Amino acid sequence: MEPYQRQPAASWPADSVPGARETVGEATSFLRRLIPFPGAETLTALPLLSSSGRGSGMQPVAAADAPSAAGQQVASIVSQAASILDEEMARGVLTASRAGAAPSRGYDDASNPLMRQVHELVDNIAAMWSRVENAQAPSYGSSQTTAGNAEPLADVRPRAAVKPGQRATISMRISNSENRPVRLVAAATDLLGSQGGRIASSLLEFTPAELSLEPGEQRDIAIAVTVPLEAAPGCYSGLLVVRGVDYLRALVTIEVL
Amino acid sequence: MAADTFEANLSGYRETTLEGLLSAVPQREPLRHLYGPLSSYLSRSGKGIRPALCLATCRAFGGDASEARASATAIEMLHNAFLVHDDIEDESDLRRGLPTMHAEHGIPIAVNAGDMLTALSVRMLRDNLPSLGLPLTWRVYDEFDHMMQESLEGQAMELGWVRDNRCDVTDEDYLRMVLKKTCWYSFIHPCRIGALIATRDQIDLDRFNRFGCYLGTAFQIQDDLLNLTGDERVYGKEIGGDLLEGKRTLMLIHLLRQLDAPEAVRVSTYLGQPRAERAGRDTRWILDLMRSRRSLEYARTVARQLAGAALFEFTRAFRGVPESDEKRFLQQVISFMVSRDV
Repeated sequence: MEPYQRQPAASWPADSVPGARETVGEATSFLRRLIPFPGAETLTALPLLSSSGRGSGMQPVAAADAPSAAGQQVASIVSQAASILDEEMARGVLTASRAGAAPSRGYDDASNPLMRQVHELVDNIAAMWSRVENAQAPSYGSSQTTAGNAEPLADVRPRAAVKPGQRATISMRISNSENRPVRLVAAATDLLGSQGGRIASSLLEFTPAELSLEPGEQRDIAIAVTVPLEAAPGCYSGLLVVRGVDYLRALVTIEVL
Repeated sequence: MAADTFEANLSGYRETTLEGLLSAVPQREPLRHLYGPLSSYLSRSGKGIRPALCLATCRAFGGDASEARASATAIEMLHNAFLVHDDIEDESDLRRGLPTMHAEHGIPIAVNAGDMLTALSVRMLRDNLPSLGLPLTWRVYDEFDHMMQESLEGQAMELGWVRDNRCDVTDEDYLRMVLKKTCWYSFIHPCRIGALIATRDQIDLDRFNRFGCYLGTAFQIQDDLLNLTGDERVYGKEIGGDLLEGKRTLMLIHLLRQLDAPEAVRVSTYLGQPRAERAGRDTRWILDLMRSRRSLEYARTVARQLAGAALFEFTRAFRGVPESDEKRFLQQVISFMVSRDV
């Protein structure tokens, strides 16, 4: 199966990438030197950490546009592009699975653990997506999910459906089953509605926005979203990724009445 | 790395690719109406950025570039197939400074030639088998398959907007179309395939997606700007051709948001006409509007911002990769693509 998994919208934690700040500094200075267009000299990098997990915390800005007619539209274009990419990647995973690409590969990849995990991920998403698309009642309503090493894709959702304008919260318990400390940052794609429409990822709030776990430690992370007033009834789903460990991915589903 | 070194490296990758392209074309009948025009067309040689990305990424990740050669060449072959058909769809007369395939040989011959280029590109992937083995060859095919699907879907979006004379296309629609039409096949997959081969499928290839998405979109906007404001002799295509074709570029989408009702009607009427009936006077009027309403400025600013984001994502896509000439080349691709005039 194709590994077109989505990238998280939020950034890596700065200290999870060795020399990240130095690299950013080098990059901006490189851009100033090499890109021969107006405004490159004013390039600045935004802070490395996203404070709310809203998905655009690590984008540099060529600040020349600030006073221009382009205005705020330009300022949002990078995060808009990233959001579309995330969405297309999530769709790609689902489409690939429906196309049955894995069985037609023509060779046995069972010996490749990475590929096996990808296949499991895709199969799980596909199974859940089909439920979402058919807008059936959730077959399991637990709003609390423990995600840990080698867990299949988790399905996280609030305990009850919500109306437009109401706030939905989901609590997840995350445990670190690795033998090293990990630092985690959560992010999600837009939630796509089964009947069309979407709930923007920027409306999702993660508390805490990041957390550190010692080996064996467990902590809760809460996802809250206020459903837009104009949201049509139906199930809205997106992919959640907790950065810091590769295996923490989940399907977030909110049912709007 | 100096600009001339960059150009020299790009030229080296281009020559390697051209050799592979030409050697893949059968030298047998029908020569006059198929293989002859194909060899001639491939010899024109564009910038060659796609195979360069694939080969350089393979080397940067410690791979043997010769193992990525078939895949890099297949990507360029497919690119040429797309160009032949694109020019028919867009009714373009010039490509790389010379008549388009259909302008020179007629539409039926050109359609068939484009089909053959696609067939040859897929056939080239088979050449991976001896060096890469079946599993990796199949993985490369998976990437190629996705690349083709996305590009054709993106192309359909754009053609559909023109056919339906859509004047309500948004920036978001445009970004999605460009991601599908341009970014995957021109930037994301060439890097993914290069790294896939170098690492024997041992890294998460998604690390290249944002880099390629930002760079590809910046590239496309720059391409659209050049189409309106460039030098035809340097650019190699008709200046203003996108307007004549009714393409929904970022500048046009921006302009449509700025117009009052009578202006919007006039622009919409222009876009709804067949290409041959669009008056040059109206084309110039729209171009002037794009200047006065700052649509060109808006697009330039967006391209710059995306280039900055691409540069930032470069450091993430190539994290942990030792410094090398190839890595430096890849980094400089960003400034080249956005500051180019060809």
